Amino acid sequence: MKKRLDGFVLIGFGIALLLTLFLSPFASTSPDGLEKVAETKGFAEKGESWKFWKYAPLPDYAIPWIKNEKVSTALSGLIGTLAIFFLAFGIGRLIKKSPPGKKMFLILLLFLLPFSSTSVFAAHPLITDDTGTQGKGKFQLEVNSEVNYDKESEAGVKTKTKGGEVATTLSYGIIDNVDIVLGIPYQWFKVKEDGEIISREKGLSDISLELKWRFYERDGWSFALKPGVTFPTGKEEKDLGTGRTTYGLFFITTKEIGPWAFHLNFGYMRNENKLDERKDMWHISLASEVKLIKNLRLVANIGAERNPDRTSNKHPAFILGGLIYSITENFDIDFGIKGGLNKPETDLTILVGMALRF
Amino acid sequence: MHIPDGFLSHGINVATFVISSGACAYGVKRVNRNFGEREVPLMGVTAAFIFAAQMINFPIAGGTSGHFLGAVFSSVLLGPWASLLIMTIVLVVQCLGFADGGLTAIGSNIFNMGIVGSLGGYSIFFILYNLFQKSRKGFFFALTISSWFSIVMGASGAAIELAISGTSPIQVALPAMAGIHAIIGIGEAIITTTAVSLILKTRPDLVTSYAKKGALYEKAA
Repeated sequence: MKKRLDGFVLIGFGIALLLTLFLSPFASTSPDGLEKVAETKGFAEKGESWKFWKYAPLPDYAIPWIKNEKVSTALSGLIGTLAIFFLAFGIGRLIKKSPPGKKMFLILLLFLLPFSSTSVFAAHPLITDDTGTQGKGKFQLEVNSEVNYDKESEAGVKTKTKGGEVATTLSYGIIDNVDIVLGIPYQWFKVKEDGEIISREKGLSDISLELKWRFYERDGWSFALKPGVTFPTGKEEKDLGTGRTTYGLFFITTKEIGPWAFHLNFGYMRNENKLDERKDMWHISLASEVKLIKNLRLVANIGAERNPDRTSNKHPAFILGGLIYSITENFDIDFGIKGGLNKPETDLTILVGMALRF
Repeated sequence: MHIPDGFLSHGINVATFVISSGACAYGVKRVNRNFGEREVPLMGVTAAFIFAAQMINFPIAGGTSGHFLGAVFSSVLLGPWASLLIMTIVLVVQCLGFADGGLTAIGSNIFNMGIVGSLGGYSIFFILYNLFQKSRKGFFFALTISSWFSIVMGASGAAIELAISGTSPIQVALPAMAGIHAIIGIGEAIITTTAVSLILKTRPDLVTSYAKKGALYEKAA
């Protein structure tokens, strides 16, 4: 039965693709019912005078840089059909499985995704921040998500952790070189020991509020300070937050050389907590970006942080690679893979994000 | 039928947005009760098919074109609430990705095509199908009539919103919109009936609304 359903889905999907590839380029270009009425009844110009959403990547079912109209329509339809399939499939899965609260939240986020832009980490998927700010009066909304996997084995007990996070970040330029940044993370994870689930939580994590001030800029060099606080909005007893208000300060340097950019971060974070964890934490990381073609940047990142566990002097370190694609000047999507270099760091993390500036 | 930015007043935009979000939230709850492992890929492929089919404008009289909507089609396959969500997904992607339909008018577009089209269209289907005592002929009759109505009612909804917004008086907008869409609706009826009968021939188990006995409004649990 299952197999036959797969067959049906495949055939249905195949029909949809055939329609877009071979029929849509030959569709009628006459105005549709509403457009015709608007023309004949004299209110068509009302719809042409302004557009609220100007960032559609494929306006009027065309890929802007493909000159051949038929090819352009067919390919844009192909992209749309694929996107719709995965979106509807994903939403269907969420609705099927999750309890109402998380479900609503995630669906909301899915719809917010296209509207979203910059986070705690200005150029997601990089962990390292850069000195860039939005500019006075400008907003950036980011929605960044990750899924992570970790396997440990100690004294014969195998621990598997699977988790994820969706973080919504809103940055606003107070003045040209100062941004205020609000980060709202939502997390979930599942811990299994020898195949048995020992812990499974989901919920809002600690909300952060940061200020980024770029205080010096010259000859491709720039420097910024980023103080921030996090609030105990995550439930500490569920491991979703620290349970205390805590704070930190980051020092950020960026150097730009032609198509290259390098970012260096030193950070101090106060880890106020109710568990017996280290309270003084440090962070160091280095990132590089290179513009491959006009809209595509290749990024790499390496860094380490102090281990909050007092019993360990092995500090979690990571390496990361990814791509950032700017669909328009103000709309980026990105993808990254992060690997742990040692045991305390999460083994594998896949990051996907979007950023919108307005 | 996708209303662009600028046609509607902000009052209408906000009102329909609130109604549509409420309906979608309730729809999520309803679908959650009925969705199993099988429905999820079905929802994906139905939405993909609807998006693809909506790209194909067919010419009708007088230099005008129309396209398939799929509200009744998806309602009959997956239930009206899942259909509302599918229409919403398609409309949001068309608006944000393809500049088809305005972002400020998204609430109205979901209202016209999802609430009126899917929920309204399915209600007509349901009443007619029951009137004909769930016979096979009754099923196709109900399908044809209700898919035609889904278009005409959706277009009338758009006309009423345009009138309330002060864009075009009701005595002008309503006959014009309903008139043109009465023709487009014939296309909708033909495509819906053909597509559903093809699925019914190959995979009758997937047409949840076509039941010989038992619960119909939504898939029996």
